[in-house]
Amino acid sequence: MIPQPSEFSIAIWKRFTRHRGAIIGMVIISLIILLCIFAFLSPFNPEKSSLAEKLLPPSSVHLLGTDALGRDLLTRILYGGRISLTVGGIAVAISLLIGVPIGALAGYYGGKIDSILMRITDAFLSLPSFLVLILLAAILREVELPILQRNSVLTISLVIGALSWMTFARLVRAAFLTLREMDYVSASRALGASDRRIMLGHILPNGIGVVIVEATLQLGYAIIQEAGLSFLNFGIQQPTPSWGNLIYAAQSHFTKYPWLAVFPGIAIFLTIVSVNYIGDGLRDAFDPYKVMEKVGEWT
Amino acid sequence: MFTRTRTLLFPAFMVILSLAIVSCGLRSQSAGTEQSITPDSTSSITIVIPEDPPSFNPMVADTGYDSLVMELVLLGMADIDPYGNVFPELAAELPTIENGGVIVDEDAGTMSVTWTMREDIQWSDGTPVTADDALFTWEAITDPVNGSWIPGIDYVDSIEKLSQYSFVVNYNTLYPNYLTQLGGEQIAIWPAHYCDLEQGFIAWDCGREPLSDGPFVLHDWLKGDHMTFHKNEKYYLAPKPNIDQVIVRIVPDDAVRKTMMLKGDADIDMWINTTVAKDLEGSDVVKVSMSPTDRWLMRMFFNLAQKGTVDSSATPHPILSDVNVRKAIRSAIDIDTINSEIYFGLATPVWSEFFRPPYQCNVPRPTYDLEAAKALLESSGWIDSDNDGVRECRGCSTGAPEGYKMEMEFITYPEFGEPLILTQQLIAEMLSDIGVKANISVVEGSILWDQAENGGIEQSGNFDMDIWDDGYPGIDPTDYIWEMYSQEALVPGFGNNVMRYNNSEVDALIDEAYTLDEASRKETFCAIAERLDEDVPMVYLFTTPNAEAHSTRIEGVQSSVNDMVTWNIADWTLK
Repeated sequence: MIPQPSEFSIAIWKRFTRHRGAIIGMVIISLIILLCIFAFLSPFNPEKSSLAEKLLPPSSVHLLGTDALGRDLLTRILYGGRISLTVGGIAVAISLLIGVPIGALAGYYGGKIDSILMRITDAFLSLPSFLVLILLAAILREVELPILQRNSVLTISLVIGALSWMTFARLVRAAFLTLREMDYVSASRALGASDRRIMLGHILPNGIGVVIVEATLQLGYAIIQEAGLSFLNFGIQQPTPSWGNLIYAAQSHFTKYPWLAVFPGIAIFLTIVSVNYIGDGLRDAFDPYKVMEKVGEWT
Repeated sequence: MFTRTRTLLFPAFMVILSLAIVSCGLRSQSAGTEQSITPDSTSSITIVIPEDPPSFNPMVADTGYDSLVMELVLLGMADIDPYGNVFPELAAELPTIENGGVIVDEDAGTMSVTWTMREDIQWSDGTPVTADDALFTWEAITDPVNGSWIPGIDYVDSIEKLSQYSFVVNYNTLYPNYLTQLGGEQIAIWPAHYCDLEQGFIAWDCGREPLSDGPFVLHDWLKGDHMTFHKNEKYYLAPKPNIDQVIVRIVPDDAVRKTMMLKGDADIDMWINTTVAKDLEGSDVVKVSMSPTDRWLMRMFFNLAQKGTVDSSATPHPILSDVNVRKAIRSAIDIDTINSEIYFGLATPVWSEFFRPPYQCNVPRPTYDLEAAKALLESSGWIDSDNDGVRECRGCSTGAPEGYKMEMEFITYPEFGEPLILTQQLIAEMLSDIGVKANISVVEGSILWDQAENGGIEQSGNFDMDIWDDGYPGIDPTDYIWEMYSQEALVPGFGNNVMRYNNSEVDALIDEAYTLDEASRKETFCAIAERLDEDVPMVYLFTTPNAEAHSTRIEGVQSSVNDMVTWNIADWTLK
């Protein structure tokens, strides 16, 4: 008996919820996102200095202390989280927009198209990504375009996304190479379905699991890369906080005021670990053999 | 498996990013190459600087680190001490009108300067340093293809050799800065028999592997790591220097340099900022030497031309071309608060280009007055009509379209360190209080100040406002004033008038300053100061102390704004 799509979804969800790390990760990341969304409830302005309160240690008023201009660190971390998570999200979206079509075309058509697209992918993979990121960030910050202003969220996201699509292309290509030989694809073709319809309507939905898993992992990478760029002063500029530039600003105070670096570091740490465990859980959940095993048990 | 591995790698990476790199990771720099440069003598000191000197020729890039090492190995005709006194190096004595070394032709408005050199100075290969070397250096500098511009170069008609140890410089005007034109912190005399003129003054190999006539000889240079200098046994003031070996180590991070100083791994940390100076207070092993006079004036530059252009008359800036806007910005900056909160009161508020002896002008200090600043903006047609906190042009006089937002980019450079970054943020906040939105940007100095053809932001006019520190070396501001404010210097590549400030009255005054009549010069400089105070092409903020940290085991270290800390290294002694 062939399992119905809803049974697949239930099986995937069941397997995901059995992954303890993924559930904990989901709870933590949800909490972080909620805190960042509701950061406006903080009584402190994240960008306004309060010189009488500079470099205060954690206290009941300032739970995580204050920075060198007296700004509340917790508020800045939460607002910084908005920026870092947004950069991560946009960067992953850009990677998907580039990587998925390239992988789909290469995997579906094969032959010369596959060779050309995969050599391009290989060329990008061979680049020392972080160094190129710095180079691109340095070039783009000299560009003054209405949508690509120096060190803006979009510029940084574009830079990161433009160098992170290759894994998506590889994974989608692999999925398409397998799925295009399936009987239901041959049947669609025999019924006269166009290539576009076959790719978007039949193959992609069946290969989407691996893309989702990779997207969660790429989100973590993008956040780290944003932090790295900001740490090197190529990312989001002060006074707008991001997790990376908060750590950058803490450099000269680390020995005397360690909380300035430790708390943003913990925020990044928790976020990255959480999305990785979620990705791990999704990988297990989407594993077709495990899913079929489960569905088989039910049927 | 792959995913699980990465799951473990991410936390590890984060730990490195957030904690180890910030603190402990950087310490490994200090230990990494210990073996290779362990002093082979007890009489050895270590100087730490953040980057490699580009060469030993400060005329190439003028980073300061080139001057630092130039002072170790090369001499000029004369140099300047921390108090502004010029003293001879290669010269037997300083040429003056009194001793007949300077002859002025009042009618023609020209002068000639005769330099007589010491006869007991030789290069480290034993060749004597003679007038041929001085003439060779001048020939290299003035080479039309491979040469370089130096202050006063256009005022020299000719240089002629008089004898093996004397030469005369003929000027086509009265040039007050003649004493340090072939010396000071930037110019050295180069060996004619060793340097290759065809390679050019800027690019020649001897700029990286110099022959020495100074107190030390370059022994080895491992780029990005260290340079080692040994005592020059042929130094003319032997038995000086009193130290056998100097190691210059490259340590990019200022926190690491500070730690090295406190742990006794370094002896000199050049150009420390006020935060580091404050942290070193009370240390038993490190002292901070401050220059007795100030030089580095923190300035906020306005681009009077439209961003991306260089002609303030043809394409005026839509906001900053209005002098009332510039005055309003000046009134909105609370310099005293910045000084007390960020610089621990170690900075000195300054409101004129002419703030140090012997040229100090009595320009009244502008007041910090937010209400006056707002009123100026209102009267100039900049009104926040939509109440979003940012003013718009409503009948402004700059040619900006109606509704044009008062929003500008505000740049600084990171190399100065945290105090300037915080200063920039505070000023941006102060400007927001009067409805001016300043978008902060931090760009490396090498990009900010590069030539226009290389994309240099200031030279190509690609900025609205920026803030950095600058000041003239020595005691004569004439060339500096020309470079900063004259019309000729607003052309990209011909000077540093990046504000594109254009005032013919000031130009005429600058011309008048080229005289040897000191009373007249003082009067002229103060007239210039008044014009600049009225026109506000830049806001003068404060001077920051020129400070160097040194270990207490060295005696004789004296920070100087007129030169690098190594200006008197031959006199240093170790306890």
